[in-house]
Amino acid sequence: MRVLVPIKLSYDINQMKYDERTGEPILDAVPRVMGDMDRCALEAALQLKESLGVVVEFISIGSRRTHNKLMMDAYAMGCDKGYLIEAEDTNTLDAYTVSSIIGKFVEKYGPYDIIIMGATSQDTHSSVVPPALSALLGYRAAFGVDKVTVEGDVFILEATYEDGIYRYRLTPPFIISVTTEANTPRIPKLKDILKARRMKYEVLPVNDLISKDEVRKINVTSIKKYVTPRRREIIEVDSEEDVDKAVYRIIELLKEAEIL
Amino acid sequence: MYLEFSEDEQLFREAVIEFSKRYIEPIWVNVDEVGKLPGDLIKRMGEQGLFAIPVSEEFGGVGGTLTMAAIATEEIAYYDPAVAIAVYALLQNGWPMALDQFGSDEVKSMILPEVASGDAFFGIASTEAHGGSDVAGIKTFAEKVEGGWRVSGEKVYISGVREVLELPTGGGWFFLSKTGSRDYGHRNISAFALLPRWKGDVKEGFEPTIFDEIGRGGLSTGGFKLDNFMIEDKYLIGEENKGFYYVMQGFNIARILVAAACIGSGRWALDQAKEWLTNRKLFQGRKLSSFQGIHFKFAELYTELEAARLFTYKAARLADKIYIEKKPGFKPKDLNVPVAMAKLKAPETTIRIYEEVLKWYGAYGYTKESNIYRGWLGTFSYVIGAEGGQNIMRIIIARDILGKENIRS
Repeated sequence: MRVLVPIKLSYDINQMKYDERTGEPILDAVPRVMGDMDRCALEAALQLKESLGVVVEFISIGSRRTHNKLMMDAYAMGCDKGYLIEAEDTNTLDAYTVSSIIGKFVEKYGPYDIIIMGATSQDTHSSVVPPALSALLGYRAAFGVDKVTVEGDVFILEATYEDGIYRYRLTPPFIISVTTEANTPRIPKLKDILKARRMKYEVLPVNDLISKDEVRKINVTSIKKYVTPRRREIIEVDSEEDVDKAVYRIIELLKEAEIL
Repeated sequence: MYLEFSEDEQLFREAVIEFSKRYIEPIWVNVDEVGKLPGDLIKRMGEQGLFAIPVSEEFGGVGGTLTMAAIATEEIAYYDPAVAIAVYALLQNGWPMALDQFGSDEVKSMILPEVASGDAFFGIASTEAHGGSDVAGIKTFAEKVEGGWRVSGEKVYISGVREVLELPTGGGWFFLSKTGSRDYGHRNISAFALLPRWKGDVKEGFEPTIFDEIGRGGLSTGGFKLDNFMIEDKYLIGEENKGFYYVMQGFNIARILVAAACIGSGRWALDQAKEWLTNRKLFQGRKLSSFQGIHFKFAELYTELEAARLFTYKAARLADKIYIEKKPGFKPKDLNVPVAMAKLKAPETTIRIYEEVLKWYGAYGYTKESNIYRGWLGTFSYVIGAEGGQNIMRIIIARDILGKENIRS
């Protein structure tokens, strides 16, 4: 059984830097890393490797110059084979183009029994690629999965939505996207990092999969830092009686803020 | 030298950071308070490949470099600024590497895989009561007998005494003893792998003591008496009476990692200070960081720490050339000055950082709640002399630059 995990080199949102004057992000100064959900997708696949003996392959779109470390990272976690679809300026590719590239790759280099992706990328957060890819390939799908179990040939996939927990029972081929609730990704060990350094990945030109005319790019008109306004209220407690009042007030405030 | 890390070193640093965030940051205060490293953490660190990093794979090590061991030590110390866990890691990289360089294949095959897995401890036992810096003056004596050595003497201020007694396999030390004659000097010192406990009970003739230290609470420091303790021949490290030369090289290796631990802890302290200085306001809303007396000092310390970091990784890269890559033209003595500069600079800078940060924190810094003092006390052991006194570092630099004959009084 072959499992494919598409991964993306995302901006590390924990290390965002902004121009103090304009509020625009200085993207050149922001390190790029594998997103947390992509890491969970790899972990989900690697757990299937351990339990079912599946072969785990991964794919990313980018250049060798920028993506080599990402590819090493996936190998160090324990993947079997990697593919880099070589393309420049991947940050501006739109989600449909990304889905088309992966879809064409699956048609050409597949078949894959299962495709596992992060539910959303760490930087753009569009969540479009997994459903678009499932539509293009005609695969069954479950999105936002936070629990994967296997019963015989059937994969039971649980996803928590606003109206409750959905439980899907799928047989391959299918595509799923996972959340960070799905697992705790393994941390690559130094020995595996050293081994990963020597592992080769296959580099395929993007034009082998889609033509230049099919590439659609997004035009980012503006990105601004948005700071959530803070609201402060001091609740004074001078006596034991005030404690109850203070607790009710805190609950009221949390409800107003839609936290409760 | 332009300090740049390779992609595998960057990945390794990210992995150590993730490991430390998950398993070390949540417990470091408790480890310091309780005064004991949890056995499951040591095991987990072993499984993660954080011990015996620069030890060859052939003898159970990770097959990495001393630079990688320095990266691990620096990052662990950032998440455990009290440095007990970082020092445990540095000992389990530095002294296993020294054993890997000078020990026999039989002994390396026996000890190093157990250390790498976290089941055994292997540190350094050199210091005696007369003073740790005076290695030539040690009194412990090993008498040659049939099949081995009968050793008597006493060692003090030795890291890992409790760990040797409690870890699943046990362990011991890169141990120094006079052999042949008891005269003062360094040409009659031999090195042994001393294993008072190995897969069983404590051996006869070994009497341990645990000391109560003011900082770095998680890692035990103690001493032991040896009374006619038997060491088999195979545990002699290298040649007889050459132990001084081996241990000095071992110290050079370990000092790089000591510097890395101090840098990690100092970085943490400066990050705490940055948060504090840019948020705390007084005198009608002025940020503490807006006072020149404070931000000038912050800038100085930040610069000093970065300088110490450059010294440390320069020395680590050089050590890799000598011991890991074994490049022709690089000799162990080339390390003396770069290492001494790193070991001189890093602990002293870190202590200065802590003393300033404590003052910037004001009365809060003087409380146990702030936890700043834990890093101060933990790293202070390295300006006192653990792994080499600061004046010894000055002597090494002066001796090698000015010439031995020109610094004698």
